[in-house]
Amino acid sequence: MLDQAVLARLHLEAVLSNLEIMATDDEQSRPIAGGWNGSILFKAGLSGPSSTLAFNNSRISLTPGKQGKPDVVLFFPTEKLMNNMFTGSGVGFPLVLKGFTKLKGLLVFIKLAKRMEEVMKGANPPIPLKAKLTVNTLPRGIAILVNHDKGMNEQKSHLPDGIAEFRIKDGFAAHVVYKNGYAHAEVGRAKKPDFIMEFSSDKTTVDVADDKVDIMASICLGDISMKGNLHMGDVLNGYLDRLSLYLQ
Amino acid sequence: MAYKFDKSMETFARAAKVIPQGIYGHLTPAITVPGSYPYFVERAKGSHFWDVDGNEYIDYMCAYGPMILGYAHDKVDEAFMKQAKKGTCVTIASPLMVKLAERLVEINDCADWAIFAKNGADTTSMAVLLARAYNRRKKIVLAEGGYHGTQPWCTSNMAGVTPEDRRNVLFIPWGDLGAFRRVVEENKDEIAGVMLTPYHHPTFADQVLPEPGYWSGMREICDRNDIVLIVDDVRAGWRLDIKGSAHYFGFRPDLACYCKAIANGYSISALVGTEKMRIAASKIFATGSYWFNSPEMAAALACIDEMEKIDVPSIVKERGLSLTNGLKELATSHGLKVTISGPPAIPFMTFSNENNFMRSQLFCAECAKMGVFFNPHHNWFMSAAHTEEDIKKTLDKADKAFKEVKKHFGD
Repeated sequence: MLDQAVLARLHLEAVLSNLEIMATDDEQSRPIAGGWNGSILFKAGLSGPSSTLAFNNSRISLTPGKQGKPDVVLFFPTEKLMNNMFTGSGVGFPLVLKGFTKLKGLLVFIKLAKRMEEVMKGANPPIPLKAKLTVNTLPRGIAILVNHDKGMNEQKSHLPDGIAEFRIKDGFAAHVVYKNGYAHAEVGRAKKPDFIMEFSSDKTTVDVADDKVDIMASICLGDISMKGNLHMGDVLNGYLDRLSLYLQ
Repeated sequence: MAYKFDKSMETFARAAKVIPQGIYGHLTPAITVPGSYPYFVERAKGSHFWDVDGNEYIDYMCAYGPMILGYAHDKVDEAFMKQAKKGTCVTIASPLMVKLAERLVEINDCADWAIFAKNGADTTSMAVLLARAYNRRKKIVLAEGGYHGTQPWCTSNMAGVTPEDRRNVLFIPWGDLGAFRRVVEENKDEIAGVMLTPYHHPTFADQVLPEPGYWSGMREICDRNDIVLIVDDVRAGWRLDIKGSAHYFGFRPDLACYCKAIANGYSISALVGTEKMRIAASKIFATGSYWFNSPEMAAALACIDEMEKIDVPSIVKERGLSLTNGLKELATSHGLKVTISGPPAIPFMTFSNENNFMRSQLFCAECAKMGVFFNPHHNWFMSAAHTEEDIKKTLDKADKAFKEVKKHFGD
């Protein structure tokens, strides 16, 4: 069973972080991101997760929790209401607690969210960008599931401490660090990863994201390479499966 | 000449189109080092096999355990073929089934009866069923990291497994008597059985032998609480002791599961048990389309005779010691630290200063490219077919592989 609080964190901390990359890498997103300077706080439930999305001269940065004094505060009474907004299903709307006069910021966010939808789920996505966003999302999503998803408790008990890196050959990389029961994600290559999963191309990365790849066969064919602690990789594979269920 | 894998790769490309994963399960090349290992075999004899590209290997995986006398062993193959000519899968049972059960009762320390099946997993599942039938309880205790097959109640891969499948399965660390005592206390009169391997042989980790007093302690707790003690001897069976690994470690389980080496590669498994379990065994319904095939039973009889005649456990122990002592010496000479774990007959080597297997993967990949087949993540197996000459050649290649590890990692 999927946990709405976990899904809310995935939206707030993993999916929204893709906007940082889109603002720098995507020609269509860049001018949209440059249309407003300010910050938006997303808050799901009174004790639920929150994140602050800041726009500054075409750059976007995401920080978990409340950061500074946000210009706009979007409060969702329940995690489900927020998740509905992100997935475009059911009733999903926020209460604007602050920033009625700064609705431009909200419009900028909506345009960027729509663009992200096109990139991640559209029929003809820009493959390099989608690949990069995929690799950005994987370790962040895994970290959230490791820390918060009780449905993965058995798998978590099998997860060894260490660093797992996901990367596109000669391209973007991100990794997840797991130690003493807690995980966090970082962008870039790790100094000493314990497990590496490398996709041979952007296309392979995107196909993995779309669940179109026989991963075990691809490893044997050289389209995906795995190195290091394969036990860690095996456990993380369960997390990737769970992540795709949440973000399908 | 450097090994090439063109035909293996061509065949795999075809396989990936018609078989999910291309090659699935424990034979998947994904858990070796793809690019340095062969994928498909052409033929095998003794301790060697030849891949479809014509590369020859000294094999220390022994088909992951079944091969114990050597591939294509004349006596076992002859017994199988002679019986196959008389019929394979027939409408009524063969007396060979009785002969094989009598042989197991004669030779195995905990066997007062035997039931035959095809795979190790058939027997582990049957053992769980039997334990529950015996004391009418639900819960089964397993060790973390233990392997008893791919059934939902015990598989490590959770795809397709529901929480309900695992509701009555409890996990404890292998070798931790205190943990077992606690779980028994917390689940008073609810535990049907505990299934453990005779020593801990997890994948992706060093092997662990039992501490003195461990098995006698387990036996005592099980007896006091009427819990069925099940030994999964599928992997280790026959290599440590012809009377069973439990005999080797000095205890008597209620049930023991056998497969792999019982017939030197022919598909047959056996669940054996003590008198105490006989009536419960008479109540369960267990069967399979090919469980009564007699050629495999003939092969098992021939294999057991030969194993007993040549004293297989002594041979594989001696060869295992030659190999592992040689590897340790070589590693030290290169300034590398290795850990050899498990019994010499079923050894495993890891590098002591890592837990991510990167050195192991390089070492094993280098060995594979020179014709020595180890798995970097799974214990190895010795067979009676491994010769001192094999081990000498292996150590020669290992010397070069250690050199590469030293060059790449420094320590």
